[in-house]
Amino acid sequence: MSGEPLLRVEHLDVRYRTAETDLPVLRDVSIHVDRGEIVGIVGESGCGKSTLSSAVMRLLPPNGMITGGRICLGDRDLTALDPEAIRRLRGPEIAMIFQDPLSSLNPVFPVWTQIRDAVAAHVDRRDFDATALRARAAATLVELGIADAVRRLDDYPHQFSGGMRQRIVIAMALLLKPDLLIADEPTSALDATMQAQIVSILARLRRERNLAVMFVTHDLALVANLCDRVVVMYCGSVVETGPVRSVFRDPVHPYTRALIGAIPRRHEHVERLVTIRGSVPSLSQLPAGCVYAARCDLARATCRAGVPDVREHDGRLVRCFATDPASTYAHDAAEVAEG
Amino acid sequence: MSAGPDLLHVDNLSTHFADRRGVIDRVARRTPSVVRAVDGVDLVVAHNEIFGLVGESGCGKTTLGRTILGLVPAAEGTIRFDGDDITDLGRGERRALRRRMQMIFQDPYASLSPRMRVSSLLTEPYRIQNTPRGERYSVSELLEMVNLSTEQADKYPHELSGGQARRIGIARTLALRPEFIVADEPTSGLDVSAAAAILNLIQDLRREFGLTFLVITHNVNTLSFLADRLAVMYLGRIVEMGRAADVLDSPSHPYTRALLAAVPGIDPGGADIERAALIEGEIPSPRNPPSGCRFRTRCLHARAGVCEQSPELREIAAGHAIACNRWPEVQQDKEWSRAADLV
Repeated sequence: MSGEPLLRVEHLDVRYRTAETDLPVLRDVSIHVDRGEIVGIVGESGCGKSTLSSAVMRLLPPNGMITGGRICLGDRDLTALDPEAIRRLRGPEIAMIFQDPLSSLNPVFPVWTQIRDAVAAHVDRRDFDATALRARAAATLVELGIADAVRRLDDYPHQFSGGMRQRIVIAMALLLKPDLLIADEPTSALDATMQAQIVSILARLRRERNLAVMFVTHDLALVANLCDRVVVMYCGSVVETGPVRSVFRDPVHPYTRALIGAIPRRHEHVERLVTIRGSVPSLSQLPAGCVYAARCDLARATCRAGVPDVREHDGRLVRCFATDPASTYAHDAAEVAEG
Repeated sequence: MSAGPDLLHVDNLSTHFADRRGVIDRVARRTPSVVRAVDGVDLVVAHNEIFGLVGESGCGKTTLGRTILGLVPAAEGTIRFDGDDITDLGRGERRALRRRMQMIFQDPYASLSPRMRVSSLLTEPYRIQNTPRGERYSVSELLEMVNLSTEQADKYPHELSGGQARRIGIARTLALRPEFIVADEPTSGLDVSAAAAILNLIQDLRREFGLTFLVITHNVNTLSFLADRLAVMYLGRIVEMGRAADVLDSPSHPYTRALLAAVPGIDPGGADIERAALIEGEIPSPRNPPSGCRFRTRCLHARAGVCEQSPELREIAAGHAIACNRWPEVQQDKEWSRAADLV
């Protein structure tokens, strides 16, 4: 059952290099996803959540490189594997679905051809049985709510709606029985009622197949309801991670608190929503201390001087001096109070 | 809030789009197929009110907003603004009215010329309207209204963040001192914190300038913060309308209930996510909508012999109306109580 660690990302550093710059897009990122667990990776645009999923899939663009840390799937370190070994891993062990299902499907081939080729690319030729696969593909599509799947396998992607295409892509990913599914904004292009259908499919797959899901999204409400744990990212690093219930009910990091306060609630009327002053710092000009300090209401001298470590606090991990009794932060407070 | 007398009256409004006919269609004398994007909508917006229009893509909410502003012609019905019929206006009258009725467009970058600096973008409405000097706001006044610093005046649109570009779009609409603003998805594409700032700004502008807003959105939670009243649209028609708090606390049309169940709130584990999809399938094509109740093909509660008739929007409580032929019996359905904890 769940609980057994599947994916462990430890102290991961990723940089994007261009002729002029060398950007530290991920800094000291550590997360884990256990078997049968859905982990939400949230943050605003540019926080590095998509880079993290690309790094795990080893799909970083050519100028993106892992400069430190490890990505372990079971007992293998993916950062040490050669491209061929990674290719064999994609599909049977890790699969990925994206926001726009059209970009994952070729418009000029019927769905069946694409499913067949995708599976054939990842299994041993001797084990490949097209007839059996077709039956299994049809059964999986039916399971995901596509009626008349046997006939519809011969349809082209444009003959399906956005929600149906996303089901096809999920079915393709499932046929190789991966342990981990990385879903990068899989419902962002869909309408609310269609999003609910896709999300309920993911929840069911976790329950029935013990599938682990790394769910990358900007939609905090979706995370609150779908995920077991949440990882909050800001500007390339993890600021808070813990069980969804505790993080959303009682966020500790000032950034998490602001994010949650910025979202309108349906049954609770507030006069004003929480906003965050200033803007996300540029990766080429990161401040010396805590990356959030310039926008943080709790920032003090300590926060501008050094980068806080991740520490355990109230059942979760938080990267903030204000929650670290061993830091000089409390001392700063005394100074402020006296002054 | 402090809603005054009625400002906007929309009666039985319809907007149709006809397919362009090719040579073959004309030779074969095919009648063009007509999409009834908006189909018989009635609504009233009071002075200084924020009225929300919510629905999924293709429901006609944007078309309704554009028809009210005269950007698309109405096929049937009337629109009255401050007592005057504005359904069919000549060019000159329409231009004069534009000062009073403005729109915040969905894509701020698409509505800002990339070659103009913020300062000239902000004064462009004055050049178009030939506004006398004495009635113009200065660039810095306009920037201040939307909480931007005067340093932004020399920038080009590509130098602005999404939230800043949205504010410039809003400042442009404010330049002409309008009374009524249609805001189409005012926070789409924005990050959570930038979106919150825009929502706060809309509330501030309503208070400070006595503005009236029609806010079009697909996100019903936005309206819980923003709207005094709201209408839910499905396939060109309003299915539920009322005070925002009433509709959100006791959604009564089966479609509204499905929509609210599908959009979870932020409280963790509040909803059973595996069951949150109360309706299956997708919105039928507006080209060929179901007869009678347009939601009946996806409705958990549809009954043969009852739902083939077009339902009227009827009050079920003071100021709260729904269009459902099965009200109030529908509440006795087993599915109704089973879904109650989801909505």
